[in-house]
Amino acid sequence: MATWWSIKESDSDRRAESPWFQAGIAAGVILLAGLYFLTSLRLVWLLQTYGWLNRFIHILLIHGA
Amino acid sequence: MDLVALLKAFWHVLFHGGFLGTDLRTWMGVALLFILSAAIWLVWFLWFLVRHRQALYAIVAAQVASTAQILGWILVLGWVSLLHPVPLAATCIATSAAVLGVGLWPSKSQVRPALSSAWRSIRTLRLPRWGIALVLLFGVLLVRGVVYAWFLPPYDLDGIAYHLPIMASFVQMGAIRPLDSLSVWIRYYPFDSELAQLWSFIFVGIDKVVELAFLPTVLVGILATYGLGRRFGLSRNAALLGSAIVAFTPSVFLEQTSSYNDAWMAAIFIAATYLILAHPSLGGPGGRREIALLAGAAAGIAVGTKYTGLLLAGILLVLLLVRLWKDPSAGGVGRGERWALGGLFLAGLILFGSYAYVRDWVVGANPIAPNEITLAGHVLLPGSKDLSHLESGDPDFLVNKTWGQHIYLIWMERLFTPYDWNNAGDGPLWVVLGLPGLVVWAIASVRKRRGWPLLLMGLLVLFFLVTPANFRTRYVLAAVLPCALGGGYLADHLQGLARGIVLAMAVLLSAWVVVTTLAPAQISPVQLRDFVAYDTDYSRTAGRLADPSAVYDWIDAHTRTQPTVIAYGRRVHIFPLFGVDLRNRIVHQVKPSLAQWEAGLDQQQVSLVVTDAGSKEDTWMQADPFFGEVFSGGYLVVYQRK
Repeated sequence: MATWWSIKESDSDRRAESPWFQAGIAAGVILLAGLYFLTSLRLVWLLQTYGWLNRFIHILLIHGA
Repeated sequence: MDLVALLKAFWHVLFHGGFLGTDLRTWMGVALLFILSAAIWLVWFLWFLVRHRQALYAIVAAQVASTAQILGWILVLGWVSLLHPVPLAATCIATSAAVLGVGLWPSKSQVRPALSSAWRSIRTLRLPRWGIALVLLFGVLLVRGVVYAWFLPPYDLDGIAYHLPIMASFVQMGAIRPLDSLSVWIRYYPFDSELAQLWSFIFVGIDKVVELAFLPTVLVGILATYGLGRRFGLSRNAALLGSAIVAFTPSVFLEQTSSYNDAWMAAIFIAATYLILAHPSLGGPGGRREIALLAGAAAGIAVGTKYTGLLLAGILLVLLLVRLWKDPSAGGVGRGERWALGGLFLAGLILFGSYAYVRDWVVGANPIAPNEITLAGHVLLPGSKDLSHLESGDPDFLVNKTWGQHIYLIWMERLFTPYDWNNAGDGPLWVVLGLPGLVVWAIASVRKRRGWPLLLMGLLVLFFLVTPANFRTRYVLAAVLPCALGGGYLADHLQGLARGIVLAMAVLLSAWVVVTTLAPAQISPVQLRDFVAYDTDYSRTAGRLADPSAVYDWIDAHTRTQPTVIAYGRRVHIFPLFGVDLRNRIVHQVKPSLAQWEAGLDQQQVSLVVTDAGSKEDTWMQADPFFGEVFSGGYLVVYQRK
């Protein structure tokens, strides 16, 4: 209880967790990120954005000012 | 490609209408704004640096103090109807001179050593490769935001509907008074963020940089997240990851160059949280007074910005009380000092936060008008907006969706939303790293019996739960903070491959949000080409991107050389009516009858009236023998005095 209101965690607390924990976190993060990319299928956006930028640069420089 | 044609094109883009479409007078105004803001900030920075010898603390404290100084003078001058560029600059310069003379000059010999020490500590910072990647990616976001803010007119919906009209009306009146507007947002909402926009307008004279008003504070909020991570014992790299989770939240980086004020308010809150937790010398009464004042000012600014700021101010008060009375480093605080510190906190709260609530109580018989408050079927505070509706008032695409679908649609899928382009969700970084981090940090904190992380997490989770319409994620942006710190905590407790995967995901997802938001929403490449290559600051009007733009374009062209007085009905985007330089005087009026409406138009010498076709005011205008219809487009009709 002595450390209850001490803000800073000591450096010795900053240690790696068990291998199972770490593997679980890594797998969870990959799963969530994969879910984000795959289920939302937003790869289309990537192409749209680059298409938009290409058009802008093209219009500005060739047909523009 | 013809090289000469290419160079000619660049030459034209650079030097049309002055330099980059901006004339010398506006460049001078922007320079004056920058010099004034930098001078105010620098004086506070040196003041805090000399006292505490901590660069990050001094940066964050200087941002809160200079924001408070600027907003404080705008409020006071507004209340006494002296809100003009010269008095505002004079009072701000005088205040900074006083801080410099009284606070800094006596200890001037310490300035150089303090700066050297700060520089030494900054030079020891070493970024890992993934950190360099994150910084570069954020640089892209910054350039993106500044370029669009510079070349595009202010066009986000809330900005042109009420944030900027409030700002513009205060500038036109040279005063802060109730605005008798048909728009409930203009009439009732708190407006401290509009005062920050006013600062970015008043010396420039046109709406050139109003979208940059929030940027410095949001950047400091991101730095403060890093500082909080360090304060909680995270390694430098972990704290960097934590601050990246805030920085790459789409609502944060899109709003930092817009009129939406959620990121600005969240940044003020994060900065104040950092100051409360990281204050280096609470052992003496001077340090305790300083922190009570800074926290009170930040709480007041949050309260004066949005109604949800009331909750954030409450959280800051709890954090301050716990820090002062439970933290061993704070020393003993006597009963008399408790009252004094409470008084200082309250002073900031009242100065920066109370005006709009008192006004609403007087004007609308409800301090948080137009929200209606009912208890057990009895109306406690009358209003036109039912809060119980707000609680279940999901955006259209979320109505009748399950919790799982809410989470998926808000946090996993939607970077943009069709109903509000700036309401961009919290992005993937937060949900992929922040949420797991929050859970791990919470469990570890319970196991290790650590009160501060649990208190911060608990208060912000509570904030999320009680905020009405909390699935409009920008309303609860401050709740990203504990997730960001949790993400950092997670990184500190991983090693090897697992740590590599988490950091790689952080970079990948950050790159993802950068790429997918590079193009400005709702703007076509041709429109951007025109704004960049052909327009000047006087033809980059907010009306060109408003709907229906034909009406706003007509009014802008009609009043370009002949400023006029304009009144408006319902559903009108008001800011474009002012003109970029606020040349047109806009009349706000709510009248219950035709006779009073007409009397108001005559009294104010109104020449043009814009109404929503079919509305009560439109019917009145059709019957008014002194006005005739001159233009219509979309749902709006323009009437001109005969």
